[in-house]
Amino acid sequence: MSNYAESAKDLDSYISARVPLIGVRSIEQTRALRLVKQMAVNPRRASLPFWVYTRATGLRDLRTNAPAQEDRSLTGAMDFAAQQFTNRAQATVVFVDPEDLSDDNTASRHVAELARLADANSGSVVIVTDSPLWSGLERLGMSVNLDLPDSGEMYEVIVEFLRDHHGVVPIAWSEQDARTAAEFLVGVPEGTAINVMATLVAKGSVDKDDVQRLAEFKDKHFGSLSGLERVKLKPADTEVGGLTSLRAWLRRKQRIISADLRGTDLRPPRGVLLVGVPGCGKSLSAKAISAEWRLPLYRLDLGAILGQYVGQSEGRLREALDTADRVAPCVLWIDEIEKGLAGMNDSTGVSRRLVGQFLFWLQESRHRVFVVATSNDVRSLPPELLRKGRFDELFFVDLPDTGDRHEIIEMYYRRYVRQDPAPELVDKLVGLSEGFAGSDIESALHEVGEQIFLNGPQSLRPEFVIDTFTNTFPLSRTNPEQIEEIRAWGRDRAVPAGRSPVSATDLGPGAARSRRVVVFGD
Amino acid sequence: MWITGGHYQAWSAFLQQWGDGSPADPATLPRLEPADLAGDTWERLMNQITAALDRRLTTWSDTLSRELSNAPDEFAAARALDHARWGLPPIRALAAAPGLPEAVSTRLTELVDNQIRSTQDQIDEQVRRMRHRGVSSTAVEARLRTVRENPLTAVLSQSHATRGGWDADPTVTPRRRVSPH
Repeated sequence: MSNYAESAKDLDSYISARVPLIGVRSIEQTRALRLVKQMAVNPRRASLPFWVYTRATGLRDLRTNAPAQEDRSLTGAMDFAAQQFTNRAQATVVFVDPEDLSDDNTASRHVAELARLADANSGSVVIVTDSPLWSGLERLGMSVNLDLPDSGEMYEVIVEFLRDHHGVVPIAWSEQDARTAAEFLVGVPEGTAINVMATLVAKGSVDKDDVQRLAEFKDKHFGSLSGLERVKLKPADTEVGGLTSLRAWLRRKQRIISADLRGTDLRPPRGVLLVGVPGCGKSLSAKAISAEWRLPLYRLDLGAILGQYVGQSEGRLREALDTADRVAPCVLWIDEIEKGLAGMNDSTGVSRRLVGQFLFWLQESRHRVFVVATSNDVRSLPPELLRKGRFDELFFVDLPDTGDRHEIIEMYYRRYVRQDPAPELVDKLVGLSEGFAGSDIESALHEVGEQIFLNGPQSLRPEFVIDTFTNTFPLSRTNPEQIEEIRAWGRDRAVPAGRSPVSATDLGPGAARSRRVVVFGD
Repeated sequence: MWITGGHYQAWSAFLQQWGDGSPADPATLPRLEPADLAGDTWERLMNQITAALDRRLTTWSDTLSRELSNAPDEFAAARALDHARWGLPPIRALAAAPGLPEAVSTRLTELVDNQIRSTQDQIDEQVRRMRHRGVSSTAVEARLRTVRENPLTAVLSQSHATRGGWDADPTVTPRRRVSPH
């Protein structure tokens, strides 16, 4: 049963039971009022009076919208309600966002008094509000929580809207497209969904491609995001090379994340944990997934979540994860996850609670939030995070092999030097860059680009490029023990993100059975 | 023709009590005509009427001023204005008492209504002056909105309804009647 249907059922019972105070909590005022009116126009309630008060329209008959009195003040409406409750039985007066009733204040006390008056004569006060009611008011009645439309209700909204525009503009959507669109729009109010659909129609046609654009529309709707940072992608983030097995796996997950899963027991993909050598493209992979899947990318900074007061960190994480659920479908990027969730043995217990909270959300959320978490130091991560069934998969991203370095050098050379490199130069650079991470290669070629910018293209000499590579000291040389430790961990516990195992000679002693590379092209 | 001294007496006694805040209904008072009383007696009675109205309006104004100044929030301020409106219909009812000649009741009603309008203007002005006393513009705007949404002058409209429902006995045990609606 949809949340709307369930709310309607509850509200119907409460009105029949003449509950003196009924709270209808929703951020969608119009939809909530439609729900209340649906109860009022029920033929079996034809003899019962219903009024509605809003600040803008004053007091009106809920069924006919006829004004009930000239006085548009809230206190005047409450006086009117008091009069009705005293003079007749079973009157219902609906107040829409009357005042702040979330705590013990004069308005709350006054409404409580009105509810007691209603109770004396089987009357009902209905409060439509977007915030919780003060406990003193809650005690006097019952509440209905009208959530945002679920996918079923959203589907009806979309279909109805498209039906109204049938013949007005060409509509290429199938039923399946509408279902997918409904899934994408879950988490926005009905009014926003209609605005989005109207924007599609306004451009002259509703095309198949527009289904994917809905995620972008939705992203724009959420201007302010609590606990999350919206990451804007650059053109360079939109392509990824290498990482063959990761990419194949992601292609499968993309089909699932946009699929209609009704009628199955399948859940949307949870996400992936990328571990490995620093500078090999783990973070860029998050951007590439977002770009390729055409889903907005949000970054959750676990370091910023941590607060100084008791419960503050947990509250912030809850808020951030709620936000992620609301903006779904999206890619949620948690960079260096170990920095927020490590420290399981700290005396405060905050880290342990955060891990528990995060894992619970990861397991229970049915929203289409695809988590891409990256980690350089997986040894400090709590073991329960790595257990199979938490993330969908754990991939290990290693240093690039010969072929991958070749690809990366060509790409960055073109980007920073603005010309194709000579094949013999590339061969030399591939040899010189053994043990380089992708970021080391980029850094070296960026320096070459700076030289050309300052001294002109004629200053470019192959010797300078070779010298730059020779003078670059990657982490694998400055701190080989650390790199080897990471690779040893990844080889044993994670799925290789790269295309195939490499020979041990390529990477020296203790080389990996497999590896990866990320190449970001223009 | 002289009417009996009882009519004057009835009005005079009524005005004394009413001016002190009694909820007595002026509709029950006997009908008066200037010709029925000696000139100075009539004048004395008119003075008593205006004095009674003045006392009631002064008390009303003091109460409103006190409630508004002590209002902890905007809802309380709105309620103070609403309560003030509750106090006005009985005052207007005396000015328009059916026992008074029409010309007199018209003049008295005009007097009372002007006083209500004047009080409303004074309140508006006082709220505007709050700015000069260092009150934040947000608070001033909120109070202005409250004052505009709850004007005292609403009682001058024919359809204005006040009070009534809140007079129910709060000690009565509620008896809910549920029907299969």
